[in-house]
Amino acid sequence: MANFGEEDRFRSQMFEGTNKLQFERPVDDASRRWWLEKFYDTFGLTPEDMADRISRSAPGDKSAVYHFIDGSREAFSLRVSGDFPGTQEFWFAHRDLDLKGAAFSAEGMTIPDEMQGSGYGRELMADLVDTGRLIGIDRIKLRAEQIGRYAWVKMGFRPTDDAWREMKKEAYALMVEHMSELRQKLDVTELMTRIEAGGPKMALTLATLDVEILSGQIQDRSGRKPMPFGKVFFLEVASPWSGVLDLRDAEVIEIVESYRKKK
Amino acid sequence: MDKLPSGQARYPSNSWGAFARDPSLDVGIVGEALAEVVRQTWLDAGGTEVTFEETFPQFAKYARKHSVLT
Repeated sequence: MANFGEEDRFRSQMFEGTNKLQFERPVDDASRRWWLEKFYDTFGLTPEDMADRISRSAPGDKSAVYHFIDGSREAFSLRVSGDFPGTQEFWFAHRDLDLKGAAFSAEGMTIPDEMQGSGYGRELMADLVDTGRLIGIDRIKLRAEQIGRYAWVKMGFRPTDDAWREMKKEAYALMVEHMSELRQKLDVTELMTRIEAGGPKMALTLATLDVEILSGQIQDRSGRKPMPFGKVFFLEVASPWSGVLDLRDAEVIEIVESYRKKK
Repeated sequence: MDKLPSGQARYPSNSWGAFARDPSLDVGIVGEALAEVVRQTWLDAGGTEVTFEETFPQFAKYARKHSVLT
């Protein structure tokens, strides 16, 4: 990365809006200095670069809106959006960085229904993981909703302790409801004991439980379709949950990297 | 309930999203790497290799890794 001088156009103009980059609030001098020190001098990232990096895999044109850059709080909030070339569909990703808390918040990401299932959401999250690791963030936080309830647990996010308590209750209730099917395949008491002892990491164990139970939503010609317990639980039963991806945890990074290899 | 022709499935509007169009769709870690993570979590929670393989038969095809010490 070139070492730009004080007269460099990035230093003087990086906080000015363009058609593709907007600042909802003026960036004050202290916040400019904070950005330059934390992101530009160290990593060569202008605000536009940051927006581009956290959505590196997204196709097509994109634009970014910084809701704020606040050096006193060591935080910024931005939304990056774009469209899928050749379609009327668009995506957006809302990202908040709280450097004091050393965390990105990834709450607020939309991929249109028609484009789901192609990996765009995972790739955008992987972009955030890359950016977080680059700038030394410890963790990424989110609230998992809709199909994210299943997708994010498979990508390595773990529910918070509060979310895990709720998730366990819901999982046990579904196990009791389908006890007869489960008992034919596994020792349910053993499973519940391990879930109880293992903590939030066991969310992934729940997601991979593949004993088939009858879906409450998916049907085939003969009625309710048998589907793996893990998918029925997370896609039909589990409440939206808050979770964390710990970027310092080697096992979690292994999961993320495994996903990349899958691509 | 209306009967569909053999082999066809109905996926009504529901919370499955993309999974409803393709129920086999999966995300994230898969295969041996997934088996290893789940196995390690299971063992950390006090489970045994035997109960792991009983609970997750789909992972049995991934042979346990053994360290040769001598």
